[in-house]
Amino acid sequence: MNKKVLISLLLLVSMLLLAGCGADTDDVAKDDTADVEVATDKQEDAPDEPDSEPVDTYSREAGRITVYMSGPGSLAKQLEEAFEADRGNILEVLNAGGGSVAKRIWTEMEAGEIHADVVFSSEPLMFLALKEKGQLDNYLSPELSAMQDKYNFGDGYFTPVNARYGIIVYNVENVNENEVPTSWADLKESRWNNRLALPDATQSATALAITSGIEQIFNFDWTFFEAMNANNAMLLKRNSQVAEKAKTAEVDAGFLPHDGVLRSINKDRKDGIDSPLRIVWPVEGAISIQRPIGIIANASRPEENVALSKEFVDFVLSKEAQEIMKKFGFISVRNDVSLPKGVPNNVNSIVVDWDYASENEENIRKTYEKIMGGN
Amino acid sequence: MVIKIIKSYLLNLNANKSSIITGIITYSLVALLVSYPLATLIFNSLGISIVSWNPNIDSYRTIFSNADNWIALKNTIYIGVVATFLSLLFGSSLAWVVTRTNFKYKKFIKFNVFLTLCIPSYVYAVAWIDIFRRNGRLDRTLGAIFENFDYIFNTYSLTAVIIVLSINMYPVVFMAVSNALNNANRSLEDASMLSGASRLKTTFKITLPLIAPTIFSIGLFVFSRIIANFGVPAALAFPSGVEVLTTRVLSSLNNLQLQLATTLSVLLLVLSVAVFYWHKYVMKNKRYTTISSSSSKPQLIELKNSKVLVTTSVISFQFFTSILPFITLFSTSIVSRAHLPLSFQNLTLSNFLGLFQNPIALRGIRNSIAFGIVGAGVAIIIALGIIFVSYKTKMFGSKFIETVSSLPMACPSVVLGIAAILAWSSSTFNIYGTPWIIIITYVSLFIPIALKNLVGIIESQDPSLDSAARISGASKLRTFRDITLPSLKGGIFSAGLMAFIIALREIPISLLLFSYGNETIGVLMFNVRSDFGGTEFVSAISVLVISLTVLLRIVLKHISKKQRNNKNASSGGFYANSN
Repeated sequence: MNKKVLISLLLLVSMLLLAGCGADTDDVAKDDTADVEVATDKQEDAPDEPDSEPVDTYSREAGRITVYMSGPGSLAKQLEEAFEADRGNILEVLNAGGGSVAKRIWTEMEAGEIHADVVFSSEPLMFLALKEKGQLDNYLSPELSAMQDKYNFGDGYFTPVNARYGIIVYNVENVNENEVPTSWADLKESRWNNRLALPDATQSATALAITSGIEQIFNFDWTFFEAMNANNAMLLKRNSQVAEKAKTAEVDAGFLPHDGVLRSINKDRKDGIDSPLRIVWPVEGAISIQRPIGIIANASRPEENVALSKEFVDFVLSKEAQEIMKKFGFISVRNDVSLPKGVPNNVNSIVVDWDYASENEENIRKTYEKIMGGN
Repeated sequence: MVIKIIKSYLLNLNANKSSIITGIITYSLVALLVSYPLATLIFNSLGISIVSWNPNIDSYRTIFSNADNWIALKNTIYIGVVATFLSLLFGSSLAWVVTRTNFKYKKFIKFNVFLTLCIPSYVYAVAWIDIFRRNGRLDRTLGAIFENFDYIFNTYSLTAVIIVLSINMYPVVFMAVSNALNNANRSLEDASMLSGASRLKTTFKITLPLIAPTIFSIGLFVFSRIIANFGVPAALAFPSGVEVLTTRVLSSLNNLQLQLATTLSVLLLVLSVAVFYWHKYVMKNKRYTTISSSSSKPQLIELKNSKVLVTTSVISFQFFTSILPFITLFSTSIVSRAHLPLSFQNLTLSNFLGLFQNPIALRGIRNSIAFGIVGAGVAIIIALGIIFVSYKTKMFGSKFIETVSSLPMACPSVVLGIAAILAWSSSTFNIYGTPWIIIITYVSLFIPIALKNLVGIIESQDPSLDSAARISGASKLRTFRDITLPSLKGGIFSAGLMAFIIALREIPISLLLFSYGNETIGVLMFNVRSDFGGTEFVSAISVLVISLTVLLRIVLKHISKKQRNNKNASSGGFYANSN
């Protein structure tokens, strides 16, 4: 090892150490930023919402794209296999919960570069926020021609792939036949005191989406959640926990997206067990939450990868992929794919007014927190 | 400053080249794995990152202007104080009974303390819910006895968190206080009794003051662990809408309020580090309790009239705090679905078989084992480097490195997780989403544990062996390899085991950093998935973790006994009880 290498190593170490102990912080940190070519003039006013711009670096190889995908792991795997079947190993799929995908995109955005080419996640609010920040490319897939009208939104910045319905679940062993809820309004009644569980809108974006949908039904008068609080509803971090708590009879009813309930019932049936869970499709309408896909904006993405990204978007919107997703209980956005098993034909559903929910997201969350917090 | 460091290296020419290189590698690794993530966290909270330069303290103003954060801070301290007090009470009383009385079932106490030590705190929370929830075991039992029984019990509350955490932490107190009582000079107590003081008076006037410094310092340690806990408040306080700092960090992250999560993490970090170093400071200065070890056969207090009272309260306390939770978990793990009654036709081993058949479960177990082994291995190598640098050479800044690398022990795991997210998702170091981010964070968590174990041995060694080797012409590194390393074998192995035990129970780090394919046991326990298995499955995993921990701890005990015979006392066993 020659002296030059030694000295430069020493320099590196001592800089890191200095950063660690906090001495002479100004100089060190300034040096750090000076190396990185990022416009620092356009800085954030509020620390919570940095106004990041899509960056000009693309740190991955050409000929392979990265997809951040939420939803069941086995679904992600099947989609990957189907897409790669006659294309070869060209997909890097990162599968995690919708919350984790969002967290990851946000941290990477703040660190300079989102490392995904395509994002397929659990609700439109995140995509609207990304669009606002200029982080999404516009792409109108030819598959849109087969799409049902009510799902045709996103202006090409993102495209709904399938939908989940926010529904009521109850435990048939603990809810008498005559008290089975039929509507969202039924849950407001005081007989549900200490018997309800719901996913916390401050913890899960999907829960926030359901919350917006329910309040949309009640014209945002918040009486529904005031009643939830009065009924001492249990707040859960994750949607799937609602089904689990209802199944073990810790609560008698609750609400969550339908697909997890269907999968739980199916798994029990497979194991020869009668699930005590039943789904109610509320008369006011099940809350339809779309799972969109979008292409992350990146000016330096190689042409090859731009084409692959578009191809993947087309693929998930294709009939082939939509049939795979149907098996997992998701509702297709196409008009030539039937409903999954367990979802009745005549279900009344309402699509959340995403633009309103997005514009008022902060407000909705704050009001919710005020009503539900710390009882 | 930088020039000074370089100069000191170049001047330090008596250290030979290989020592310098070892030193540089060690320094760089510590800087990269420990300093860099924590520094990133702190700088980020001040608006400084690799891509932006906007130093301000706005985020601190923001968090202190929000009442919810104050409430979370207040809850954290409340839980910390009350649970610490309770665990001190439980632990010291039991230690007193074991060391000072003629209590008949001392083995029973020790067995249960051991079992409690092997049950992770989150698993306790799972058992708590199983017992006390609506339609849970208690409810169903009482319902079967009384007709029209209306079960009203607040399963989820801060009180529940306090009870669970104080049970979880009391073994640590028990071990420390038993040790202190065994080492305390008995003649003082004998003198007091001979002079006519009652047993009670002696206990409060003589024994208690003797071990007060131990109690104080272990109390601080327990406090720092309790406020760092994430799993228990997440399971037992959150469902009623109550938050503490650790859960609030995760909530703000879930709301994509990175800045808030970062700043809250720094707050939590400062609080924990302050308390932890206070504990270390008190530990250092408590010497006077251990003046002499009593050589005479100790005079044990006879429990005469209070015998029945003490026996029943001790046995029932321990039954309810360790045996019952374990039985509960076990019985839930052998029914096909948690909601079904425990009857013959519902009995099954499928939950346990499922652990090794279900791909997600199998992956989780495999990952935890792999991450634990790799993390522990790398951590031990780095710890050896630190020991070499700071005990065998007098390299510049070696004591500083030792202090820096012991920081993660004082850090709540949630904070380490947030720091890792910030540090390892930049374009320079993008390993977020790979197993490496979890492994690297495990390494930083394990370095202090390995250090703690090895330093104890090094300090008790005679330096003349090293000198002999040096005189015979061996280099420092060679001396370290041939003389020091072999003597550290036992310490290395037990450090590895301790780290591995933590990897089996750790939740917050993997929860924050995992992605599909990188799940760990902690993630499986925390995130019940609809396509995968419910409470019965979580119970089965819990039973597996407890059994493995019991096994590993027995091995650990065996090793440390051997070491003690070699007069190489290894210290810090209870530090492994974090998370």
